Amino acid sequence: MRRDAATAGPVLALVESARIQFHLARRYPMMIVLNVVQPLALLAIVLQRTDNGPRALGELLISVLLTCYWGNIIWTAGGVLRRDRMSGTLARTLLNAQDGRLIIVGRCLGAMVTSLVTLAITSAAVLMVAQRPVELPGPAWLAMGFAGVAISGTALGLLLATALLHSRHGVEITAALMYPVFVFGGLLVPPEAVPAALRWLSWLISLSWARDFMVHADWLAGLGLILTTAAYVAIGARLFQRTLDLARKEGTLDLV
Amino acid sequence: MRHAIEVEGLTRRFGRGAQEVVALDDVSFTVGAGEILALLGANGAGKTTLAKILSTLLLPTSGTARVNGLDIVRDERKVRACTAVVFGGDRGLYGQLSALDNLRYFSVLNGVGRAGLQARLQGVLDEVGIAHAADRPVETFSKGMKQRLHIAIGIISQPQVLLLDEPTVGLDPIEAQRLREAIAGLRSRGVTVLLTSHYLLDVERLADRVMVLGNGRISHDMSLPEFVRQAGYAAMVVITGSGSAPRTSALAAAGLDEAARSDDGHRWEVRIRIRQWSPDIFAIISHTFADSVVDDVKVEQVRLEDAFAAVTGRAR
Repeated sequence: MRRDAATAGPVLALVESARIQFHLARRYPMMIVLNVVQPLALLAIVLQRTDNGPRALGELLISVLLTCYWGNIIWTAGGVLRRDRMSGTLARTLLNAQDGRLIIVGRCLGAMVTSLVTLAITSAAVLMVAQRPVELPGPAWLAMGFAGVAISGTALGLLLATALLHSRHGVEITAALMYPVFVFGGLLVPPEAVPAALRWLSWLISLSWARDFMVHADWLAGLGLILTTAAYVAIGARLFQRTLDLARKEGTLDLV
Repeated sequence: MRHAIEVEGLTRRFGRGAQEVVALDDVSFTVGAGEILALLGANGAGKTTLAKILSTLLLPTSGTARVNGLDIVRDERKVRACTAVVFGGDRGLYGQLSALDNLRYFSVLNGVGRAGLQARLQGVLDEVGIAHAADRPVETFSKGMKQRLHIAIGIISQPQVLLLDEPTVGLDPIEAQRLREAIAGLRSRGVTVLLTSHYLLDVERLADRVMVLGNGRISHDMSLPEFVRQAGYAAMVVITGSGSAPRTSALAAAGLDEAARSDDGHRWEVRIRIRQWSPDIFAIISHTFADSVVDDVKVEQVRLEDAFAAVTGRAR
């Protein structure tokens, strides 16, 4: 009576985790706020100014998308484990025949791709209605940029999901994380408008690098995106393992 | 007999210093392959802690445990690949998703491969009797249906060891019986089952062996027939009648216990505990009630509750 574990490899587990998160995210009311209401509001403000040319509008569009995407990272990917804890599915998600990190990465990836696709559809619909020409980087840059953003969002999701699992106040912390990045992340508020002593904060935020990469076609910014993402992965994976080890040792996390 | 579970000197403590609680204290036992072992004990006896350790959710403080020869600490992933845990209850499922989506997701996490997955999903849902509701959101399910979905998730990966914690809790008698039949079916496939339940009917219908935990230690470990004998009697004869109540002093003189008596002036009931059957018993009862109007005679089998009360009373 051996199960065919060999065929249920990491790829299938990753894909299935992403698929289930897509189905869960579709039913998550916050998705409407983050991917429809918020981009609509921000784009309406941006489009009110008629003196923005196609290039400036393209830059603002990317900034709006990434700002809304940040909300998705912290609320959907960052909340994956917190919500599993609430529904009592944490033990099954973390402790099974697969590597728990892989499952969380799959879940975060599912959340991030769902959010990017929904944001892209909302933005395209708004621009079509507004009938304003937009100049975006070439398709290759855009594709690389969005792939980088999806991967980076997934990595940050792993880190935040694990970090927020430690606290009973995950919702409050998530809400508090929203605005510092809006202000200091270099996405909507230009870095020049931020006090010089605080500008370095945007270096820690991968989306800030991603914006520069897509808007200015800057390879150096691409390197920044890769390095910050790698740091998120390293810290997230380590924190995840420590959390799991501690949970099994101390009997915490309400694993059942 | 090959051992599916081997536990040696297992101890688990929670907290430190004055706050320390010993949930399991030097517990050792084995479970043979294909055996159904019922784990009994009062609340806080250490049953769930033991199930959590064997399912790798908790680490032991000391001692060792092996499942199919695999160490639960060193080979945790391999242990999970051959073990399924069903803790049951309302939680542990994604309520917004369908039963099929839940089952598919947890199957893949538990190592079920893509080959034949769809057919297997359908087959298991059929087996536990919820195939008709496969596409319905789980939040619309009754408690019994959720419990059956838990069982489906547990058995779809064809585990060699199944840990069941209160599998029939909250189910109506028909649902509970259906579930017992599904679990009994696993025995015929050679699955080893560790069953934790407060419902002694589950134990009576399913278990080969009974182990009783008290204060984190094993107080009794015996076969089901031996456990039943711990009740101290073989059966209960219940005689009801009308008119004046019989005088039963002859029963005690013949060594039979009158366990209880009720008499409202019109109808009476006498309960006689039979320690061991013998042909003389019928003669004694017949003689004792010869002058009474007897309406009904029933023979009740030993209640497992009495056996449990007897052993836990001794364990205290």
